[in-house]
Amino acid sequence: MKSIPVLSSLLLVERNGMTFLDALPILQNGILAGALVALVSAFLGVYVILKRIVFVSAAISQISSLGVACAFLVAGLFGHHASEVKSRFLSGPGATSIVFACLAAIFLARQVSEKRITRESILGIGYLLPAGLTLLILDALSAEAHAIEDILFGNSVFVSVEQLWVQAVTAAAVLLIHFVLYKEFVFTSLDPETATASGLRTRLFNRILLLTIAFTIAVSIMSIGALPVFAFMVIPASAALTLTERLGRAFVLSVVFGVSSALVGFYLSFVFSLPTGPAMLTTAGLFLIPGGARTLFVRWRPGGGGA
Amino acid sequence: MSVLLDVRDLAIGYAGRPLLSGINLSIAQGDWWGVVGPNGAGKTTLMKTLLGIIPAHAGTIERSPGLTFGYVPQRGVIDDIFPLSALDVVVMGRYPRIGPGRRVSRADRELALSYMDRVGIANLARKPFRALSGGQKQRTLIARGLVPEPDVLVLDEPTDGMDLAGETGIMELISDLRRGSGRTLLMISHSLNLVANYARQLMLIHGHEGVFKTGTTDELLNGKTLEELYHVGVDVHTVDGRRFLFAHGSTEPGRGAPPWMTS
Repeated sequence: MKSIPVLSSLLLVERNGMTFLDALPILQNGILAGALVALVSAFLGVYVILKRIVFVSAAISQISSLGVACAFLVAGLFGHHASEVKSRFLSGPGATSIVFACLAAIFLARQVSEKRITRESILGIGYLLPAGLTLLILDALSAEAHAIEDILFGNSVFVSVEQLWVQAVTAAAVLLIHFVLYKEFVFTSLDPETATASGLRTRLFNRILLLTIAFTIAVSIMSIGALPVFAFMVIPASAALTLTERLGRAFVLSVVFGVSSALVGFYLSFVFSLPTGPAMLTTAGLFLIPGGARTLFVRWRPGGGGA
Repeated sequence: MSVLLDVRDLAIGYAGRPLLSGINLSIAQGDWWGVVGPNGAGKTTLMKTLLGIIPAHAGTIERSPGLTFGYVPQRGVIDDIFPLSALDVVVMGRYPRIGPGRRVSRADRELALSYMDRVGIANLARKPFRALSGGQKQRTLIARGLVPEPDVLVLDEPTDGMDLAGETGIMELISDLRRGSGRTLLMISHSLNLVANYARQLMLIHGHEGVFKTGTTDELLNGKTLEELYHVGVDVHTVDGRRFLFAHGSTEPGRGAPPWMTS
């Protein structure tokens, strides 16, 4: 029964004259927001990996970031300061981030029938152009760039109560939609043509699925930054899918890996004074090790198909 | 027999690229149609249009009220990245019947298992779909196509890439399933020899040349019709009630067939 001493020693780790336990009241919104983002993103990430739309989520993430930057740019043109804009979540960068992300999702849900430009090219352009524009806006707003970078790159430790509520409601709504439409999302993701022939409204379900992903990305970026949101969409699900042959278990494992990464990453960022987003992302990466080891074991064991 | 599907002046193709027009077709209950034609002729495009997967360019498709389809795609379209058991895949065929927000019931699972049993793969129910052989995957998809108990079952190249034993096994299975239920079947195949011995009706299609013919297998399986479609001479022979087709570069009767058959 050494868990309690271990836990207390973890909580009493001191940094800059303050223990983690002392800092909890200040950090709790950030920790909760991180865990919520990880939970819903890691769940959606299973679809992102299975539908092979990792770069769709990357493009949506970048376009959503452009929405954040545009909100600061427009506000700056009207003489508002970055901290003032940041505090108005729903009417400011949150709204533009959501609008940009949802429009991107609707556009990217369309099938490309043009032979001269591939879907990959469109996704590449959808990622690169917004990235370039965001950097240009950051350069133009150099005095306030730090506040914007905090959002875009995930150094936001302190999350407002309003933002936390928006995150919680988003997570609840997205998970409810996925609970109700689970069968439809799985069938239309696995085999859209047969699903259509069987009478399911495949286009509608695909659009709803992409919109839940876009909405989650847009809201989550404001909580913990674009980089960790993208990481939670990709890494926990990839780790989970290398470990199981059951779809239900893949969802559960992905969520467990995602939430654990958020909590452990947050803790490590406090203890070692690391930027929060990259700490969470790197922690998530550790969960790839068991699946990687399993894959190597299966491949190299006698008769496993290895060289 | 009641008409299930009535097609009038249908034009098919993909966005902005019409392939074939003027298609008229009537499919009745209990029909067993083979859809044949050269590669790229538009067989799959026509079936997908009838199923509502892709929109028609023009014309009308009238379905009898409440008509349901089961679709068995080519097994390659199922991405092996999905961690699903064979039973999970078959149960999926029930999803449209179950509806949103409702869980898969024990009865749905039992029905799925009974169809897996009928196609001979009940023992593979718990096995990952991606670990199955080509023939086992095909049987799984046939069970999924049957599990909603549809009026019409559409099969797209169900024996593609199979060896002789696998091909025969799948065709015998389809034939048995039809005999037991009287269900309407539409089967796409590029193998005329295969379709010739199972289907009762044929759709011969060559979109690029505007060819679309329908009729009974007896009417259409003749050298003249097949030469128009494939631009090679084709001899049709019957031995012990089974048809054999031989293609050759000439229209001279007998060429291309082995000596034991022409003597």
